[in-house]
Amino acid sequence: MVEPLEGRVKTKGTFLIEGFLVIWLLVAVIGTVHLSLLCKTQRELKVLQEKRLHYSRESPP
Amino acid sequence: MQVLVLLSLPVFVASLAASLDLYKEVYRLEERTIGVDNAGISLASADAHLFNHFEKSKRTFDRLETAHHIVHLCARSAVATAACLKQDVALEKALTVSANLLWKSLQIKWTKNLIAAQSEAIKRRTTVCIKHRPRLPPFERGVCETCSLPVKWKQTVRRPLWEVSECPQRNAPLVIQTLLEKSPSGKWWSRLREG
Repeated sequence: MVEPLEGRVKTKGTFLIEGFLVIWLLVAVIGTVHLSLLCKTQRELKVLQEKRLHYSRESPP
Repeated sequence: MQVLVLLSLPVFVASLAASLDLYKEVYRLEERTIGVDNAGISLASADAHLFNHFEKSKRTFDRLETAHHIVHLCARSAVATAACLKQDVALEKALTVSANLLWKSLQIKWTKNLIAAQSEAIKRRTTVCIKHRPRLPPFERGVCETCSLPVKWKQTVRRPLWEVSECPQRNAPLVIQTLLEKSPSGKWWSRLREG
C-alpha cells in the first residue's frame, strides 16, 4: 500500500494561501498598470497645459 | 481557484479599458478647451494690435490731411499759382494711394488674424467658429468736408466683442468671448470672458 506524500496534498490552508497570493498579485499588477496610466495621463496633461498661450489678466496698458 | 482567477481577469481588463477611455476623454476635453482658448487669445490680441495700428494710422492721416488743407486752399484760391496746384494734386494723389494701401493692409491683417486663430485651434485638433466678427475690418473712410478727399477714417463698431466657440458644438459647449476695450491711455487691449 502506497501512502500519498504529505507535501503533495493540498490542505485547505494551502489552498487559501495560494488563492490569496494569486489575487494579491493580480491586484498589484492591475493597480500598478492603473497608476502608471494615471501618471502618464497627468504628465501628458501637464505638457498640454504648457501649450496654452500666455494671456495677461492684468490691468490695461 | 483557477476558475476564480479566470473569472476575475475580464473584470480587471475591463476596468483597465474603462480607465484608459476616461483618461483619453479627459485629455481630449483639455485639448479642445486649450484649442478654443488659444484661438480666442490669439484673435483678441491680434485684433487689439490691429485696432492700435488703425488708430495710429488714423492720427497720421488726420495730421497729413490737415496739413494739406493749406495747399488745397491755395490751389482753390483766386490767385492760385501753378506750384500750388501741382503740389495739391500730388499731395491728394499720395494721400488717396496711402489710404487705399492702408485699407488693403487692414483687410489682409483682418483675414490673417482669423486664419491665425483658426490654426491655433487646429493645432489642438479642434475647429472654431467666430461669431459677431464682421467679414471686413470695422473701419470706413469718410469724405473730408474741406477737400473732399476720402481719408477721414472712422471706426464702425463701438464695442468689439467676438464669440469664439467650438464648431460643431458637443455636449459641453466650449465658448469664449473676446472683448476689445480702450484703456484710459488710449490703447486698445483685449479681455476674455467665459461664454
